[in-house]
Amino acid sequence: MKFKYLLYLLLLSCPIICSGCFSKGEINSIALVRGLGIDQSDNGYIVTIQVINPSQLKNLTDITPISLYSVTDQTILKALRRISTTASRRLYIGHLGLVVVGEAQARAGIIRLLDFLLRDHESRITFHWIIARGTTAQNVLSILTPMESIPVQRVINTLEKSEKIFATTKIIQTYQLVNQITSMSASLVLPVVSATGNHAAQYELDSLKSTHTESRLYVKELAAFRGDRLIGWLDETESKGYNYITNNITNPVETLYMKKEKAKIAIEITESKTKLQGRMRAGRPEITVNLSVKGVVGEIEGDYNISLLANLVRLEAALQIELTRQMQASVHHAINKLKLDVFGFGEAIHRADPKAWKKLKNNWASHLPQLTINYQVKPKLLSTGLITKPYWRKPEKE
Amino acid sequence: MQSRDKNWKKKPRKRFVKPSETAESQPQPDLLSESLEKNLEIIAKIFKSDDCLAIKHLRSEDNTLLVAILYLKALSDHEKIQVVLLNLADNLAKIGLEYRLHCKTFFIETKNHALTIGNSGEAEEFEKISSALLDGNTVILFEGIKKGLIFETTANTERRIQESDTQPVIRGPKDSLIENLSTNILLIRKRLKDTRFTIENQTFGTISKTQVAIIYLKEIAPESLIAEVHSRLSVINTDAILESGYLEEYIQDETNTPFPTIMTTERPDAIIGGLLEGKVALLVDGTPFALMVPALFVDFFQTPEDYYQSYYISSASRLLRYFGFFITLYLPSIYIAVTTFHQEILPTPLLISIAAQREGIPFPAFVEAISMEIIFEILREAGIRMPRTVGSAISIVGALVLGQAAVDAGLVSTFMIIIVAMTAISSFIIPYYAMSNAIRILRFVMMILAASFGIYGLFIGTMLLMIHLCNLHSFGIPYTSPIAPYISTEQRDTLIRFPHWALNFRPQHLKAKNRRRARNPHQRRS
Repeated sequence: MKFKYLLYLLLLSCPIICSGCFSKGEINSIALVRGLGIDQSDNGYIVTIQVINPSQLKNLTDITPISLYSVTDQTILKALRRISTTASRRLYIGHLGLVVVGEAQARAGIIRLLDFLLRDHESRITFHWIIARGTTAQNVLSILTPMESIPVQRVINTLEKSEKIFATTKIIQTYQLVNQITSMSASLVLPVVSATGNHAAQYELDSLKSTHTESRLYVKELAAFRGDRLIGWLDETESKGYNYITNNITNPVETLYMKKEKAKIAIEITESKTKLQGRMRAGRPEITVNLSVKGVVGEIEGDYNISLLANLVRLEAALQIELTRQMQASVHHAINKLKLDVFGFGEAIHRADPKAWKKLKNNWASHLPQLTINYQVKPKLLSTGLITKPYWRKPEKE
Repeated sequence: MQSRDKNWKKKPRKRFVKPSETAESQPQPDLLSESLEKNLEIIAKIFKSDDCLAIKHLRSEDNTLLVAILYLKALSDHEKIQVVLLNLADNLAKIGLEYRLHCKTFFIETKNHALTIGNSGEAEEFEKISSALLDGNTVILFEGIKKGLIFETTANTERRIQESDTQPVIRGPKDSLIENLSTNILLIRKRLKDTRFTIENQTFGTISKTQVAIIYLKEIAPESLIAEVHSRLSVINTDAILESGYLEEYIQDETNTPFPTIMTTERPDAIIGGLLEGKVALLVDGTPFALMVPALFVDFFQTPEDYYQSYYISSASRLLRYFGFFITLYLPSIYIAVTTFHQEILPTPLLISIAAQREGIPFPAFVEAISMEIIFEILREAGIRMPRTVGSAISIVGALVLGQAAVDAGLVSTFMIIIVAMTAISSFIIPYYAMSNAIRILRFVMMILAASFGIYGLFIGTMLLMIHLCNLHSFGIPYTSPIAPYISTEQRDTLIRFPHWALNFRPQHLKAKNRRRARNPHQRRS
């Protein structure tokens, strides 16, 4: 009998040692930090946090749905603690959604910022990273936005939407960031946010009363890094080419121009798959990009008879040229100008020929200009939409 | 099974001392004498504190007392007495009652022609006569004869057989047990036309003398179980059994548990289903609630209706009941744990929404939750106890004043109201009230654990609960079987129900004998 109770006690004491992180805090005694902005400063960092104001979320009236706190200190943790001199609640970063890094700080390097966020027991490594181009992180976090009452949430949602249906950006979460920074063969890219117009006016709640907001946030490009330092930018086309090469395409739209008919045609890509194939030929690395895309015709402006098979084939050929052009532009900019392998070509070589890669990897950057890249694009159009002939065209008499 | 006996066997009560042994100083004769006067005197003495006793005399022409008719006015059916008297009068007309000598002929005539039905008979002892009178029977005594005749004239006070209030069904028989034992046996017996049906009557309670019928199917119910029931019943020593709940507490394996280990039902079809699985039922006179043993954890999540409707529907609703069980037990405590300890496991929009609602609430989540749960328990209890005529008041007070006003006043969040409501509704999805009560009590324990240690506390609580459940037995059968110990063939009728043609064996874990119910018509291979 005694033995039995001893056994119960033993069983119950088991979970005591695996309780994990543990702290009690009522929901209305913590401040939810949704966004964290880090800018460079002469003495340390300017840390800006966007804290949710839960009581104001339901009806936007007099008080903004978020509050901003900005302090300067040597380390991020110390800066967050310094905020307690002005904020009334304990900061809770478990629900951090976005880290915005100012351009200046990104050029100086971002690896130092990571340590606190990885070390802290409350933070989770699934939040997104974004670079503020031409502005400070503080400014990005200050701008109020319509539709979504929490600005950081809007940036996150925009990122996710536009990555899917516009393909000019790419979501990078913290664990991916760490993987890429430590990777030998592929350089880091991060999405970019930029702001237009009169920023200061957009800090006011009143600015949301107009349909024309004074300033907007745009998420549409990629920032390329060497190691952890920002080197350059990939523009819209180059970013899309990057996504085609790295197999990160969901549902974007391509515009084709058919010269003969003077028709503009929009193709909606429905399926895309890329395989990078690396090999060594005569001691030189060579990459083949195998891209197979499927799409549907989404819009035709001009007199282009899609019901003819020959025209469909021509359209596919045009799509092939267009996609190759985008990928070439991307490769040209990244490899030749920035001298960065953002696409993971090194990994493809590594997979194909590990021995050769051992020799190449130490000065992979210098091999980049000699890299031969072949593009194998296989487009396929699946459907022409609900109408075949232009609706204004009269039926031909038989 | 034997090792557990010491747990349920309570200390034997002090033997109840019969009042007759002390009150009467001089010894009373046990048997009737020839003198009718003397007999009547003794009976009158036995019933001296009972004004109900009626004694009617039949005298001869010379005014000698020849025949006495006795009954208790409150307990007897006067119309039935009337029939008996008419019978007597018939005989009387044939024989004539002029002399003492005629009495013997009259006795024999009456005995031979009037004793026809029911529990009628003859008695020689005073004890038998008094107990017959207490049953509402009519006793006729004759001058010069040492025997009395007993006629069954028990008054029928039973109510109509109605639909079950506590265990209603949509489809299925609508009758339910009533307070009358013989009617209850009739309800069960008429559905099982088999000679293996066994009824054993026993009387419990030195004062109440309550009749209890032990019912089972011979050759199906295991002998060990029948013996166990008998042995547990044999130690009961009390003055009254007023309801089957008395019996339940005397015979259950473990009283230190919130969980019921004996099934209580007022549905005859549920009892029959149990008998066919090899269970033993105990019917107690005076209550519509019968007991059935053994009762396992899963039995409390099954209703007779599960077997009447499509097995898809039954399986789905069974699973729903288990889901309701978890909601009742854990929902408020998970809410407390998550909002005070583990905010990171909620999706951000949900957390923000909860935070927006909790803004300005003066109490911690635990106080908020436990006070609302207690208020609900008060409403529930009040709903049962209050007179039916003021029933609508409770819904107004409960829903409007406590629900809406508490939210408007900023005392509790709307989220909390939703959780309390879900818990409340879910607790009533469990078909047996005893089981839902057990879970509702345990939920408070879980809430305290969640408030102290978060989800970690919930795990401790769950482990304790598991240990406790695995420790329970119902008449020697592990309470958690057929899940732990796991019996794969029994899973056909545990969490879900297979079609009837697949359920052609009696449950293995109940150790029923004669296991094959019927040959399976769908079976392809022999």
